[in-house]
Amino acid sequence: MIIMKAKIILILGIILSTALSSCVSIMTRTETDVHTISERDTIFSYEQKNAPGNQDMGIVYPSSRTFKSERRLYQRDSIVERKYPDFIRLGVFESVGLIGTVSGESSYGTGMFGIFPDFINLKSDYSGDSGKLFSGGIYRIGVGEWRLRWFRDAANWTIGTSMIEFLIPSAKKQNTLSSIFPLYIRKRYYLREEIPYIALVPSLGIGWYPSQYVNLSGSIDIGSLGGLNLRAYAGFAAGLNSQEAYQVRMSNESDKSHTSVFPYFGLGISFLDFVNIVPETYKEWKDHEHSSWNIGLIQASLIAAGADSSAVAQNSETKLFTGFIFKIANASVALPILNNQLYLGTSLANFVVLGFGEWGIGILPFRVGYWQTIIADELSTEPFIEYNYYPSNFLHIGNRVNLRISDFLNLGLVMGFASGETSMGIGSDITSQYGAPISFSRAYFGISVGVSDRIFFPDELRYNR
Amino acid sequence: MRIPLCFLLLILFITGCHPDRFFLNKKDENRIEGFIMSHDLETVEITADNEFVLYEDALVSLRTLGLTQLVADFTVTLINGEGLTFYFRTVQNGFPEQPYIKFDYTTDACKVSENERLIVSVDSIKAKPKAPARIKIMNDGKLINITVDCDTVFYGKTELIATEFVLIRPNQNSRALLSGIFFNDVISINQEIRESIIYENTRKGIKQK
Repeated sequence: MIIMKAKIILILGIILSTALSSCVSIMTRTETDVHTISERDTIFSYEQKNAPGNQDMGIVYPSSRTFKSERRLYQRDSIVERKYPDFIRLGVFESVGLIGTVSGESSYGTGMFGIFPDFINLKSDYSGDSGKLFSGGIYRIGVGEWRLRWFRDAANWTIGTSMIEFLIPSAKKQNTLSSIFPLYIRKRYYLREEIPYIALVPSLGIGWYPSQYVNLSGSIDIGSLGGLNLRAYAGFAAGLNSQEAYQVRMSNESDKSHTSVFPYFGLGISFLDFVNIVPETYKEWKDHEHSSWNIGLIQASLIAAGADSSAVAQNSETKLFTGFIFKIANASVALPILNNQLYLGTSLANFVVLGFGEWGIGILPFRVGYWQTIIADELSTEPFIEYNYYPSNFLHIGNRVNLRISDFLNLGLVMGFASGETSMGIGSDITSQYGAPISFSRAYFGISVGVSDRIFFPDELRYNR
Repeated sequence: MRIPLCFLLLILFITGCHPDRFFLNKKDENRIEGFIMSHDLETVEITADNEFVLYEDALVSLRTLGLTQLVADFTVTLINGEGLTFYFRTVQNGFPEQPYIKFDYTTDACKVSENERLIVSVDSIKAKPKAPARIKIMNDGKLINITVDCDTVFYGKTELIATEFVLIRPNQNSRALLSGIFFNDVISINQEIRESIIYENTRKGIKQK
């Protein structure tokens, strides 16, 4: 079961990575200009064939000199391609922790930003609890917004969608509103037009399948900085789940359709979520300013930590690699001090598995590091210290040496030390695979790969321009 | 089925807007792509498939994709004001920092400049308000040829690289109607002329016999 889930996550990750790397047309506008260079060549050939022997010079005698003029026109086209960002917003994942969606015992307890749930409750038969502040959540995967040029090109309107959206008011599945590619129309009123942008954003959303709903909301958006955004929401959602909708079929009230109407307030965060103002869509990609040393979807490392029992090769005799480190949605935002090399970083999730039973999970860990470029455009190193506080509590000190293969892929070496424990309850899905967590304190080294992982170099940082 | 269909139509309807771009001669082989470069989109009014009006402060660029060796053919009617200016052998991106050939078609004279260096000024050819005039601009290798009706304003060479673009800007307080706009491939036009000459000669030869 666990392996199946891991495989599904891996496949979804690959599909998402592929989609991200191939969605050039929705990300990029290409302008092409043709310049034709014309060159005219004229070749003059003189040839004199003197016949041997005497010539009769006494009469008008034709000269043997010949003259040939050959004209040629060479034309060649020089094609200039310019590539511009063609979106107002493009993001991988957005999460909102909702307050006030339900009263009573069916609160979900999604936690701050909707990403700090009680891990012990992450099971299919969980029906909610009372006394939870964050009673629901909004989750969007693959969010996109593009300029909407209506009302005589009125400023800052967008039309957007996401691959899938969930509006979860409570732990009652039948009340969850979800839709693939919902339609959103938003208008931004910018309070600050410099990075990070601050904007008031009213929006109207329509979901159409499998739920049919309307979502009216307003938010204060801050970001993006390194693909990170913070949002405060207030809104109202109303919709219908038919009897055939999967969330009704999964619920214990599958014999009828359900309406779901709820107001909400919420605090949200989004990762790998990039926001452009309109003037930035007229700036070529190569001239764009970046705030981070590194932004990526996945960083995976295979590590040797000398643990008694391996978490990756439990039945194997070879136990060189005893665990792994898996980070999802990383951002390392440069600080404009110390030559911009100091950075603050975080991830959506951080799994540090040193060995069987010796592991920790960090949601939104706090990371400080120092980025040093060794060979421009190619090799860099990043010593860091990372504090993971939820659901596990551990300190992680390490260094990663990165070799940039492309904008999409990096290889690297990692070494470090992690020490801590997991005192909170964790779902049995994880503990059966990697063992019941015990306190751990181990050094490790290993190899790493970054997929959809972009490393930036000093001349690409906006502070260096 | 009805909900997805309505949804799709709604998206198509909403995303169809692109108010700064337009197309002329939509069914023609050499379709012209226009781009309103002025900030105020209202300064350009498209009135037919190959006709538009330029108001004061307008700046519009026209091109047929990939066509650099061209004869750009316009019928220009100056509605009011002093005239208008054509820019060619330049590109829209970064204009006016890019080099260009400028052709001023005004009520005082016609002038041709290269990067603000005056090449020729012809006082005898002038714009007449409310009277249509056929303006042809030819890019043929290094050769450029500008004619107004049947009068040649300039016929000569330039070292500037040929591009696809013709940019048009009315002068201050000026308004102009541009109609009958065609961009033709100069090579195919030359070929047509050559073929017509051969045909004519052959016809004459037959008559002489």
